[in-house]
Amino acid sequence: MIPGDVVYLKPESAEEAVEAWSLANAASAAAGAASARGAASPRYLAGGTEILTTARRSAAYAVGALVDVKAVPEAKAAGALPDSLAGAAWLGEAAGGAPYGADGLYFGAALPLAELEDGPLFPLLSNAARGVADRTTRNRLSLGGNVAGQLPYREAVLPLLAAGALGYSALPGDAPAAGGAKLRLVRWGLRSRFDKRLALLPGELLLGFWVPKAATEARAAYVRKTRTGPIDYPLITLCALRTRSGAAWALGGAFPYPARSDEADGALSEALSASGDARAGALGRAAAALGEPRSDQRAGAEYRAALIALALETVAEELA
Amino acid sequence: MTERKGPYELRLRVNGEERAALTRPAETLLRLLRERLGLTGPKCGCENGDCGACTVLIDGVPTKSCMVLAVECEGRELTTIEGLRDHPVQRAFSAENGFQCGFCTPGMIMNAVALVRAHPEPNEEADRNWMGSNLCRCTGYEGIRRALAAARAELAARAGLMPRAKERP
Amino acid sequence: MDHARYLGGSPERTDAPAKTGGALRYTDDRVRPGTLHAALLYSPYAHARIASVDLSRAEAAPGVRGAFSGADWPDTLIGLYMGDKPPLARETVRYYGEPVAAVVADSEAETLAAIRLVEASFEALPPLASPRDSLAPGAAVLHPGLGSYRRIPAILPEPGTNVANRTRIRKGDPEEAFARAPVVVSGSFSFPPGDHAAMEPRVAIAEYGLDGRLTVTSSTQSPFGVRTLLAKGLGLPERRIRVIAPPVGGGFGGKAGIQLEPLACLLAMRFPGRPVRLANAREADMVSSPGRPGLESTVRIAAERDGAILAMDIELLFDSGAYADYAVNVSRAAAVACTGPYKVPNVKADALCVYTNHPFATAFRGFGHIELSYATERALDLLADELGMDPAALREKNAAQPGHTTPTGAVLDPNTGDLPACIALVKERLGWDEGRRRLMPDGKVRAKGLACFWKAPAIPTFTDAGATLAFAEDGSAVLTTGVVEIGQGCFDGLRLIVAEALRMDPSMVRVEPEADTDRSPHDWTTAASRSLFMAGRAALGAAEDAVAQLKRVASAPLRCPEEDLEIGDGRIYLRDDPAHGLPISAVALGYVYENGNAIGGPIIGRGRYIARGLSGMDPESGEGRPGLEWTMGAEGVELELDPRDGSCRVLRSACAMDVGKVIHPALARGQLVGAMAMGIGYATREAFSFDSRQGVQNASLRDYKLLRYGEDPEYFVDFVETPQGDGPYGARGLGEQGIIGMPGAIAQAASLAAGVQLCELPITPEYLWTSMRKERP
Ligand SMILES: Cc1cc2nc3c(=O)[nH]c(=O)nc-3n(C[C@H](O)[C@H](O)[C@H](O)COP(=O)(O)OP(=O)(O)OC[C@H]3O[C@@H](n4cnc5c(N)ncnc54)[C@H](O)[C@@H]3O)c2cc1C
Ligand code: FES
Ligand code: FES
Repeated sequence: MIPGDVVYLKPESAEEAVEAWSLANAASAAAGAASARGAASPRYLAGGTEILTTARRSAAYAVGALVDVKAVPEAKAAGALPDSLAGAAWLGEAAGGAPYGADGLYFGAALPLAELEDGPLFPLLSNAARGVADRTTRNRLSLGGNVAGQLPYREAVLPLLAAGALGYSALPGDAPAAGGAKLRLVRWGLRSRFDKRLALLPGELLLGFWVPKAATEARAAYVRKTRTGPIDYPLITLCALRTRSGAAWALGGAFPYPARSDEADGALSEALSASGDARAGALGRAAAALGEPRSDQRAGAEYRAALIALALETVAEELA
Repeated sequence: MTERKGPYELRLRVNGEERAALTRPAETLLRLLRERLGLTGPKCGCENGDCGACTVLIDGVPTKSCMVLAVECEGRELTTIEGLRDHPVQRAFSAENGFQCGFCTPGMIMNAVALVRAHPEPNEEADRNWMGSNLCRCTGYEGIRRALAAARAELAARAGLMPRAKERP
Repeated sequence: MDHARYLGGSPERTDAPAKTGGALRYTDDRVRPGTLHAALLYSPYAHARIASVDLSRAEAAPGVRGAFSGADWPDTLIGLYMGDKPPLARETVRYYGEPVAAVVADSEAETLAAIRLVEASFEALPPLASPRDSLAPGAAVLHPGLGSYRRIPAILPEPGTNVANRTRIRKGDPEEAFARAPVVVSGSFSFPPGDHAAMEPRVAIAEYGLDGRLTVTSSTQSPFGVRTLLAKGLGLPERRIRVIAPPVGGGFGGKAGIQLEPLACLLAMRFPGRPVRLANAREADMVSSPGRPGLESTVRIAAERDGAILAMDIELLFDSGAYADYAVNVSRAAAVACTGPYKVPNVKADALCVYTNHPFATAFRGFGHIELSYATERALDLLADELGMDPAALREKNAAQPGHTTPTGAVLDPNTGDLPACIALVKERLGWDEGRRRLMPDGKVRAKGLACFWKAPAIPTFTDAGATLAFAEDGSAVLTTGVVEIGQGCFDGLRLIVAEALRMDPSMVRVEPEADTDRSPHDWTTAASRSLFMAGRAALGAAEDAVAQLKRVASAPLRCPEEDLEIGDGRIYLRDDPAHGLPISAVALGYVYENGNAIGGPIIGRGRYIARGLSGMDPESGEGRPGLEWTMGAEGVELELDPRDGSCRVLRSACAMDVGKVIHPALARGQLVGAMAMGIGYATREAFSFDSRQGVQNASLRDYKLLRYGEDPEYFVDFVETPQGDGPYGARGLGEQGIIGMPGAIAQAASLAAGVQLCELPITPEYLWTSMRKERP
């Protein structure tokens, strides 16, 4: 339950969505100016699992307008890139990763994880999806909400990071009031925008992710460890893919954020072609490249480090 | 674009009936069902998505009703435990002692109804994956496990007896 | 009596249609329109001085009818055995989650919005983090008023310290035994407090009627207990209080004491004529309402080389948290049974209930016996190790049997269960003799463990139960007791007992499912696994009384002496001429002759029971007979450990218990299996985790992990039937016991698998991994 009042908006298109967000934002800014406590800015609503739980438990989590993204066509699409996104502009500089036009698969941000879990398109994403929460919750919990959420885990982003996915999003236009464009459709390299978290711009609506076909078909490895039973936040989740140059991987649960780095990829790649002590050394460097894991109520850093080491061994075996 | 604010009249299809209730857009489906529609079958065990006692079917898909706003359900077909009538899964839970205190039971049964529909054949992996969504503190899951098997067996026997289309729970 | 007709059958539960249909109304399903909703502000500190509580902004919020703090009830103290708890904290807070302020508003949304506007400020104090902390010289005294609290005489607090109760056991001459023993082992064992986590969070709905009567509907296991304690705490006579106990969504002891009711009532008394609902959110249910105690313990055992136990020296320090509640009796019960089900001629034991700054503890399934069992079973494993003896053989050798005495010196009578038979059954189920430890081809290790338990209900010497039996026009019978349905299916057991006594089809017997202190016969509480035993005895008495009355009325129209009449299949008939008789329906509400004359009137059978021959305990030696009947059993597991990362899974579990007589096999099995599952959770994952300031870090079902579907092992359940002479048809209690041996059995198996003795709970993969690394770095 959300103790306060909210306005619920359900747009049918990306354009309506960012417009709804902008209008609600302007309204709340005006209201905020009038009240000492400020007003809540609007939020996009997907699966709602984070919004509803956080709003109930935390007084500090303000909810004003909720813009439901589940009827936005681009956010529900899966498989081929929606035609409407073909002309999306690069946000900032054209990022690395696969060049536009190459073969790939698209996953809408509003897709519930259960659908991704059942789908055959990208097995590593299916695995990562299956690890999150429980089946019934995954019937609601969305890919975009998981990636954009506040929790440290955000496991669904791991396969996307490993695969060097591109993201697609809609931004409020520059000057819609003055008759300018109401929205800008943009794409970007996920890795280049992801440092501990995906830094979304105000009002930015995540539409989906595009993954190179080669990555969806590459050999993959997935390890997830919890404190006890499988339905729990992870102590570690490791997603890895075989690439042309070796391997790419991302690690969740071990830090307060999902992590990857080029250096870590390089070290794992080295390990794949090495053996014995050289391999052990490379795996050690792969782990070290991402830093010291954290200690929290679920597990200590040492234990997490041991799990990472074991997981990397498994991954190296499976990918080699 | 749909817009809902303030107290407003929400119209829903629940258990095959059109229902209307005055509510706020901030209200969860669980609270609407329990507090406005008198459907107290779905239980509130955590309001946090963890226990599954609040599970209902939305267009046939098991959903934790504490994790959904009622307003999101306009135009959907909702089924709560009250909407089942002598369903084979209910009978199996009764016969196999798939409950003790009964608090988890409505959610457990709703999830199981969807599960045996999606996986009519025995399937331990699917059972774990689906039923792991619901906590039961009383039974140790033994009776629930037996109930799933019994329900599948009865549904299979029925499917053999009558045309599949008629096998509507 | 001839051969039992209905006992031992497993008819479908009578509450099955309601429960599988979602139609059963628990307390929170009964909220009336016009009800006010209360919300509480919980302390974010485990120990702090309350500097200020400002209610003004909350009071001004929309829909709010009132806001309250501890100052509103400056003198009220509530408690179970000892009145030590203010309804809202005053001056200090003693645990994380302690209620500090309350807001009452028209809707729950308004009350939740308003409670966020209460501004409270605190000055943090250093928290006491464990019983040993609290007992250390110079430790802060959490209850300076301990000496003046109202309490029952069986509880022996030590004012000026943090000891809420100390129970001493002195039997034989332990000092001498230790001095001459060829083998002595000792170990320390501990675990943190945790929660019951019943699926139904606690809720109380109170109404102070305009007639001056207070009615509270509550998710309680103990309507009569709540009535008495409300009367004491609020200063109202019992006759002005009514407690209604609808079926409860899981209790496990957590709803046995007094919980939300006093505060709900105090709030309701401010708004006469309007019900006030006080409902726990899950998070509050876990920390603000009581959980189960933690433990620190040390056990020394003296033994002969052949394993015969000579003496035990036991120290049990129960972490009671901020308030005493049931924990003072939990620690006492643990003292009574402290050695476990073994013949121990010399005993020195001290069981202390110690205040700390943790969430407070109440009764929990097993009532002190899991704690003591874990400690003694672990110590026995050390002894087995030391002697190079099979742990099951060590237990067989020392098994308590009729004629032996308990730690309090009470002699075990011939009703005592057959422990060796239970051990044998568990060994057989687990293939014990085929080897206890096995290295699997994939590098994992499988290991088995076995532990024993016993339990006597820890109840007042005057524990009672009443029952009435009445009839409807169709000749069906309805039994009314004060028992609360908490999932145990006690009503189905009672139904079979009545059916058996009336020799009537069980479908013709109904048991009133709701306890109501205005209408139900008095009943001490639904706890201590004693409902079937005591209410069963009362039900039996009511049935026999009804039968006698039926015969008396029927003897006139049937023109025969009462003694010649027999009852069965819904009829009363001549024993030697069964065709000559009357249907019960023709007699139960009075017999009407053809000419219209009537005799008899409604038959009402009355039955009652009160515990027999119980006595208190000597404060110095513990001598006495506080335990009614002893249920004994053995439990075992086989688990699989992956030594690489410590992950561990219980594959198979077995329990054999001497229950006297199985009344309803399916329900009995269900109780045991449920308890075993809970025991596995207890041993492998369930416990609060505390931050450095003793805040609870895992107060939600997201973080506090319970066993889920698919993590359940294979269960084996066996019953041994050594009749309980004074139990109904020979039955004794079985609701809790299945949990008791599990932690010990699991710890033994995990220790064997890991190659290192584990002394703490929960046994998580990380704990296993760390312990193995310490052993061989
Ligand atoms: C029972 C349970 C168990 C869980 N276990 C795990 C677990 O094991 N691992 C794990 O990683 N997580 C877990 N989670 C947390 C879960 O990841 C988050 O609650 C979830 O990812 C949020 O997804 P959602 O679709 O429900 O998002 P919402 O609650 O709808 O939104 C979350 C945030 O994302 C924003 N957002 C959503 N969609 C968009 C969009 N299209 N564009 C821009 N912003 C958007 C919202 O505004 C909001 O700020 C669990 C949650 C629950 C309830
Ligand atoms: S109440 Fe919805 S999952 Fe627990
Ligand atoms: S039957 Fe009580 S929680 Fe499942």
